[in-house]
Amino acid sequence: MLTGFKKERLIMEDKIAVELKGVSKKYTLHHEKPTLVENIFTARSTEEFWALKRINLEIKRGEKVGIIGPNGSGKTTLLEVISGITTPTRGSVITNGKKVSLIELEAGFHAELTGQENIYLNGLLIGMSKKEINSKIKKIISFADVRQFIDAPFYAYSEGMKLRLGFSIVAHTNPDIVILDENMAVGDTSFKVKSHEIILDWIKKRKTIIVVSHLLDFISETCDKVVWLEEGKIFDQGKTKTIIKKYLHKYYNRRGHE
Amino acid sequence: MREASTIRERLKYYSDFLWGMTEKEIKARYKRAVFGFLWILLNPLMQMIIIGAIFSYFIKVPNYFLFLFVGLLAWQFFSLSLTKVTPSIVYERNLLVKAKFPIEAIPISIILSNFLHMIISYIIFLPILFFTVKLTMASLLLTITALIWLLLLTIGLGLLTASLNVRYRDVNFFIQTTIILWFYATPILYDSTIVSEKLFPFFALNPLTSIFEILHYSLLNQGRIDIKILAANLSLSLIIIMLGVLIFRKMHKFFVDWL
Repeated sequence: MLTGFKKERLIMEDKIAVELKGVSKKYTLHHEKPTLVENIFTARSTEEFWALKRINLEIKRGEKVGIIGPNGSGKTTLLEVISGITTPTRGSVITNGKKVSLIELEAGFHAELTGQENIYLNGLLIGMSKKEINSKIKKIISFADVRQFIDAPFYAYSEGMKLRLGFSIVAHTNPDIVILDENMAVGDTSFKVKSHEIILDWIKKRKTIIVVSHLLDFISETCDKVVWLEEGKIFDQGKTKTIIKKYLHKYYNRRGHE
Repeated sequence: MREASTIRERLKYYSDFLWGMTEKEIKARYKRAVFGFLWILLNPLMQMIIIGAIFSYFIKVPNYFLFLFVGLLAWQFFSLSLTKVTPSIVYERNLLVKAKFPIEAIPISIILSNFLHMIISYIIFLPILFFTVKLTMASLLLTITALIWLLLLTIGLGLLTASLNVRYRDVNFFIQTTIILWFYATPILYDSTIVSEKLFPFFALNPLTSIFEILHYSLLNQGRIDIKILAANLSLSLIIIMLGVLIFRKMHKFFVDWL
């Protein structure tokens, strides 16, 4: 294990992309939405639920990490914590570099605004500067193949067009850390190929990639390392092949199908 | 390395972002509205005519229609902003669960877009005033001060109600009710001189009082600015603003969990 001092240097030298230290996330389950009056007159009936329990995780720059686990094991929460969308109840998350997550696809898209206006809005929301958007907008539009509709309001767009534009914006952010989930294959077949190419390009360019998915094939193909979550804890982690084998053994072989 | 962007770059991004959101507010509001921006003037204008026609029988204030209009423009900014901002964070749920961004931009952009509208309305309104009262540089500066005070108070209060509304959805209903009462408790239909001396001290509790009285005073040379009330209003405003900022800062990290 590295000493604290060495670790600090690694972060400074940009070697560590993501570091989670003792991250826990508590959700309070409310069986009904609270109102002020209820809160005053009735005892609270709440239940605590720990979606993540003391997660320690270190992802180095350029590493490709898959996160697997059954439903409800905390995969999505972990992804949200790394993306910064939710704040952990305890522990700390340090990320080093510009990150983009496919959760952010279509964030802030507004039905009444035009395609162009939506590019600016979504771009700003996912952390691009206005200058950056100005310089990339042509590429974004042509990649998404929506040039004809770019001045039309968004309600005229098909779902496929919105997805394509959303993906195209994310693809042009030039991230250091990419967070992928089930969303990653979008659009029709030809666009799927294009978006897959972008993802492959990220992989080739030694971006740090975190994949949260049930798509074990994709994870085996791309990841160097797999983290296996079980009930909010890291159950096991290590080389992709070994972990996936164990995982398959536990969840699929026993039932003898799938 | 890239994280270590300079403070200037971050400020630039922040202002671009805030402006982008404000622009969206303005653009989205008038899509497919034929009268577009005119509504922001038509609305208080119609209110002025209706209220003026009725209340001029009961309330004796010189230049009553102009007097009403000065107040209604600012009131429209305040009430529209507050009613729209209070549920805004809850309404933008889809955005909050998708991206990490400075959340305060949601309420502040709504307020800023309304503020711009109000400023433009006042500017359009100014030429009419030139015929009736003598406007000086000092009175314009006083007007601007009052409007900035109103802006900051609205932002502080908006941050407070929007934050609390994430946890207690009652806040939205509370604001809807309060705003109606607040309208009558603020010198908009009347100036505070016509209120009995017994009730007058209660204006200390309404931070909007002095703002509206300053507007009446600076633009129309009417109304009554009482130093004690002014001091009370000013300190209450500061408390509300600080409370709003503090509560927002404390709660915003966990908004997503409550939505």
